[in-house]
Amino acid sequence: MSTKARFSAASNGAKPPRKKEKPSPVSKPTSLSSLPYELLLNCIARISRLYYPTLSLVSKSFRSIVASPELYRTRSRLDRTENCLYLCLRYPVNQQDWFTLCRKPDRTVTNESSGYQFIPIPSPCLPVVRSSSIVAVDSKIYITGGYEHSSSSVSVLDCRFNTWQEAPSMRVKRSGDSTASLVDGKIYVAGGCEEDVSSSNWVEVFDPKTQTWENVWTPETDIRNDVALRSMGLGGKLYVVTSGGEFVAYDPKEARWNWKPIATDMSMAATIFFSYGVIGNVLFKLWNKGVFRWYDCKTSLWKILKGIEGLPDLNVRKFCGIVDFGGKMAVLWDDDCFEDTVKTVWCAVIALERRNGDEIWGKVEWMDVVFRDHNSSRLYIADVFSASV
Amino acid sequence: MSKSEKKIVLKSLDNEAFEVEKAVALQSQTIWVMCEDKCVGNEIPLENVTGQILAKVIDYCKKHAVVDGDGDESSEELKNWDTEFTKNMDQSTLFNMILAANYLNIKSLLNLTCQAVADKTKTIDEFHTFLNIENNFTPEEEAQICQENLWAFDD
Repeated sequence: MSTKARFSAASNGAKPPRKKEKPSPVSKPTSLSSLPYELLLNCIARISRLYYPTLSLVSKSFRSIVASPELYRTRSRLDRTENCLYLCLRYPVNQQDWFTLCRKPDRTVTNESSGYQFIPIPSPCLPVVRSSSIVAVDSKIYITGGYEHSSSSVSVLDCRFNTWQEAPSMRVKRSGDSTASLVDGKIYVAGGCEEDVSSSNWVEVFDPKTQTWENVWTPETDIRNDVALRSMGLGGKLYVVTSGGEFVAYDPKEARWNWKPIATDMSMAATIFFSYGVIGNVLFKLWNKGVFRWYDCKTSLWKILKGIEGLPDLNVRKFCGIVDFGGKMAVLWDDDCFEDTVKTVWCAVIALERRNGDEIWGKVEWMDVVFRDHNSSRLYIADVFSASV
Repeated sequence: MSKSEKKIVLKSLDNEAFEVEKAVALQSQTIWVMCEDKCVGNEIPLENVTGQILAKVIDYCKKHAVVDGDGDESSEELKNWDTEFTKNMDQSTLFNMILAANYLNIKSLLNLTCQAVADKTKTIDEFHTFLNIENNFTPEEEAQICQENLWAFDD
């Protein structure tokens, strides 16, 4: 009995045996699967999530490990969470297709290819919403409200397992005119209250930790009638922008609205109607002809992201998304090829470096086609989101 | 303190004895607990680790020990050494190193060896060969998997 106990765990080594006996033979593990489960998880948690779709093809047990909550807890404990990119294509007839970025097994990666590719995941049978109603928070992507028909329902993509669930419903029904943003880990949803524009829930906030919605007091102003609102979370504040470029800001810490725009903030607010993204608390924006700028809060100036070379003119694209990819900037855009009806999505990953305190330099690490759809000539809207898994 | 008190003898499963500096050995939390627990003398039996593996563990601990001012290795150098250390290990050695690091409770070595396994496997074939994972899908299941995951198989 004691022999077995001695071999079983590190803590048992505190009282080593005095008697010298011939140790029983210890099996020599030659397969990863023969490691204790905890150590197996320790190894797999260190493999980039980009390879998990490949891992799940290796064997049944690996398929179940990749789908196990313990693996993601281990990744979190080892500080191995990564930004994972999700592509959503939405079609006019209430259909949406979702994809996740992975790396193809190296065997099939040729020298010309980066090896990155979006692969399909199960897509929900949900009415299509506007892209401004979709928000990524940690390992989840939330789809709030309706589009043509108002809805209070909230659907959630759990990016760990690529499965869809329902989150608690909002306090009011919202149409596609609503807008959702992430501020300090909470989701703020504003507008789209067609049934009651003076609703006390005109803005409400969802705390993913407590899974509860609360209303945010908002004054009665004309902004409530706007049907093309946008919003953005930056620096711990919620910015709501009207179709006319007016904006208001809400500070959750002081529970206070600021209705008096200042000039510099105006310029910042006016830009969020096209491609922009927040990376490491800095707002980046596609400017023109392959030029990106970032907003320097200290000087209230839009500064050029220096050192960018080799990108095509992205302003003419129907879709250009900017997201955080592990502190790097991922830029995704589409190639409209009407001739052969192939949808093609490109991705460039740009490493960012702060120099001299007030400059940011970018270097294009790779640029490649990451998605091809040969089957469809339908019109679509593309969006990209970055979840942390 | 006499010189002998600063040394400690580690005895492997196959009765191989290694005399090492105490500071080297005490990177193992397990050995540290054994030494605190004054019931052991200068010789510590490690019945879960073979001599071949223990020798490698001691190599690692020597490199990482801060002994009498010898610990001025730059972190860059140490990192390179770590990379070289695991680079050419075969899978069996690597798995045994993981088990030893876990048993001896040497956190940095456990991190290093688990990371090495993660870094060495990037293809399905590598998972099957290097990690020796049995592909236990039935032929029908496998055909369906190939069909549903063309992205992983088309060259």
